Amino acid sequence: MAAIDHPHTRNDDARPLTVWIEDEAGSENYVKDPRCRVAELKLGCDDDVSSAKVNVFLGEIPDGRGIDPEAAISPSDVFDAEVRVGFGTFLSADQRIAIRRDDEAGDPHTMFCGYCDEPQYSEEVSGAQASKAFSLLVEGVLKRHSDTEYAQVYGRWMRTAAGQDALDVAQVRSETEPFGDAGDVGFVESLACVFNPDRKGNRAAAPVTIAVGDRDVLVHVFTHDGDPDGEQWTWAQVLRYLMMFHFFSTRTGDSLDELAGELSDGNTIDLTDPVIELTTSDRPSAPVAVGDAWAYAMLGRPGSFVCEGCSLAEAFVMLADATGTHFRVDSVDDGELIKNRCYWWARGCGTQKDLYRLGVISSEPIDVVLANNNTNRYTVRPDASDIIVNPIVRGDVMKWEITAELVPGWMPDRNLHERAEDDGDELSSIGDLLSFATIHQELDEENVKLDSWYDQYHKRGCHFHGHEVDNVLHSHRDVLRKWVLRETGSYRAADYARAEGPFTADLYAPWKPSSCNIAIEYVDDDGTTKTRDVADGEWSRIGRPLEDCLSADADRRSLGVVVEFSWDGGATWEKIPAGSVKLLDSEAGIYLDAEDLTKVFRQNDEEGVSLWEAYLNGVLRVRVTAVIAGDARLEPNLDASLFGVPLADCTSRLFDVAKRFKWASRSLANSQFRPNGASPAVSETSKCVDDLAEIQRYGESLLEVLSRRQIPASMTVPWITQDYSVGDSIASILGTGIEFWTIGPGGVQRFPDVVSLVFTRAETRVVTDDRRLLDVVRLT
Amino acid sequence: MGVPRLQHVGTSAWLDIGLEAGAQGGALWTAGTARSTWGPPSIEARGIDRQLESFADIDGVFEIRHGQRERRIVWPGILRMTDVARATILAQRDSFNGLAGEFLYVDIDDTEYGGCVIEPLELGRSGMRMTDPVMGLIWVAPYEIVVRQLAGPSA
Repeated sequence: MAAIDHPHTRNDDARPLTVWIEDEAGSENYVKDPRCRVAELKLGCDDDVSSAKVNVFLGEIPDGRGIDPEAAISPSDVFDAEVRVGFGTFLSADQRIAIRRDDEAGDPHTMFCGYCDEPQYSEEVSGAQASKAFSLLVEGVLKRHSDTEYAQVYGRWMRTAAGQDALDVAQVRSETEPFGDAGDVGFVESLACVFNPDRKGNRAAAPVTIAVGDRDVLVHVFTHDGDPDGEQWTWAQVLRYLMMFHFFSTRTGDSLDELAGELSDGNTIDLTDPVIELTTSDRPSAPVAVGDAWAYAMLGRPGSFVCEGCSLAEAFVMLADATGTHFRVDSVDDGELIKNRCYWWARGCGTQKDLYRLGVISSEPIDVVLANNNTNRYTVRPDASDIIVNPIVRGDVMKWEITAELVPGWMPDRNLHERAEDDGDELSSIGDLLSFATIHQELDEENVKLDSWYDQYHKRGCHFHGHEVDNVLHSHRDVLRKWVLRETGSYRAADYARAEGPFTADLYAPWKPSSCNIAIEYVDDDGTTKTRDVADGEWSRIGRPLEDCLSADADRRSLGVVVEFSWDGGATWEKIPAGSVKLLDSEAGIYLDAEDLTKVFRQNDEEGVSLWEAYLNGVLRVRVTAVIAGDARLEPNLDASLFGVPLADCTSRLFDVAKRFKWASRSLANSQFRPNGASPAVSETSKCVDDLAEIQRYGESLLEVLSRRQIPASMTVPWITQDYSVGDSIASILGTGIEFWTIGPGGVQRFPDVVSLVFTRAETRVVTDDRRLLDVVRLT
Repeated sequence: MGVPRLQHVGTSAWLDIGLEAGAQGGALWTAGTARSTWGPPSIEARGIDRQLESFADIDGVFEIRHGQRERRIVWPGILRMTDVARATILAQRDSFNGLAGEFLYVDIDDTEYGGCVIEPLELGRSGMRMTDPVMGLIWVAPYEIVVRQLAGPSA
């Protein structure tokens, strides 16, 4: 293989770039303009819109020069829209300008097409020398497209009411079978064009079918946010949506070209066809083979991809950024017309090409020498400094919904039959203690304040919060009110164990996760998802304040922290009136906030046994069903060797994605509300999530990128050549031993993309950019 | 009136150099006013717009031609003129220098070169005077007319 488009002799004639201008706006009849000379043509991709700088000769073109004579023109002929001699009309911002180059047979071929919004005229003087210059900055059609009405992205295209009604008759909303056509879709301006807001799907499950000639093009449309049947968009579906509703100027036509406005489709519809009905679960796994790279990129899911208020070009740039793909606009000849076609590709997956410096084998003809040597200036700078072998990916803290019994969080109190006085008294009888606790109910307002029980245990009692006796502070505010899980281990049995009753020393051992059957989910070394029990001692002795349940009612509202009491030693459980229970701030536990615990009864049992009496009788139990946080964070299991990382040393970097990947389970513990628990809940809140597979994929995609060298390079071919295109991948400079590999052995080799081609009068500069996906991976 | 021409006129030993154009500057050296030496103008080869490239460790140079460009025609001589003729010639020279537009240069062998423009014409200052048997006391001044042919070979 050798270069093809090159001079053939030692002194070859150049085939220069020529400028052609539409004789009238929209005529598509291009006339070669001899006044114009291309100073520089740049073909780019993504947000680097192709552009050209064209210099215009102002002077007279006399007769006898082989081209039509023309008088000198002045800038006002163009700026002020005067008729321009020789062209019959003025050069306006609506006339397309094409740059072409003749092939070896002398036929012109288009390289670029655009509009000039910015003609520039200047006169400069330097001493005795004066000069005039007239130049045109011609920018690619993508820029003009982004100014059209249909390219403004806002609102949503959704099924009309009639269209939705028809679907509802035919199939359920969760069915993914295509239904309906372009006539069933309408524009809803009140909703913003945001794909998967807060990572929640807002795509209708069933796409519509838009018939384009003989071809059926499936397009997914929006549904409203919060639609329980809403599905998550994939990037392929987003791209197809943007194409059909904001790229093309119409949806009615016999071919894709007939739908085109300023821009035509190149390969976008074709490339999205194989993946349009797939979901993220169909995504190829990393490390990604070159053949799977496009599917890998397109089957990712956007999270809150906001396009509202953007132009299509801006949306495309963001989409390419987020998916690790590129797009470009190529101007190609289509008979007499020029089509500006949009092409997409996955990074590093373009046609592999090389540059050549093979040197000379003796007596080779010049034609062969130039085929084998086409670059004489190049700068290559491989950069391994950003390779990360071991990314530390931190998801959110893992949480479980548990049901656990609480134990008294107050020191044993003698008025609760828990201890005698320090002077050795025996415990008072339960009957006496009960009388002591209830006398105050008979007293009037003035005398009740003098009652000892009221004084110490009623919330309005003077000494409820504490009183000093012999320089010792006695506080009763926690008695029968503070119930704890004892996960901190600070409730030592020596201080808190009761000699009698159910709350003995055994119950004051530090709480174990295994008592709630807590199991943790993880990815094994072979890539499978497994669970294992959390071992005793694995969690540290820290406070774990309780959080609202993941289990929910029919409206998906959390059941909250469910505190239940038993009046019969744990046989049956029930709630007490709302408003009485508060959660502790710094540990797992509750606080009963009722004023008078002798007036707290079971539901519908106001004349029965009070909470205080039940405790005295040794039958009161308290349990809580809530969410508790563990010590571990959600994390992937990554094996850098699968990606062929070209470094032996281990380099690391932390990626905090706690806001993005969460894990909270109501199944992998003992919650009474879990699906196979004692009282299964109707549904669960949106906080019940399992992002383990997501974070694993995220980690793999990080390694996919972070394990590669960067290869920025600039190579100059000393003549104009069309051997290279934006989107090609440069594999090497043959003959020099320089290979643009980005990864070590064991990984999937990819090569840097050509992202820019710059043509001047005399040379072609090939610019590669192995810009990392890291630049665009969303970290929060 | 056709395209202005610059050409040799006359057959005497001292050639007259005239410029037929009327309003284009009139004759440069007219008969009876001055005399010039005779000698063929040098018609330089047409210039080539060439771009030279080389490769490290490959011998030789490669050339890409962007087309042929202008050609210079250099016409030197020595002028002999009287005081009166000198003043006239200097005035005519100024008109000639201000010549706008292109003209046709016709060589001594009647070869025509179209699309020509002229460089500003200077008369050298030798300060030499001599006595001419015919003209009497005269000034001697070398000159060089440089014409550039702009039009390409296809024109």
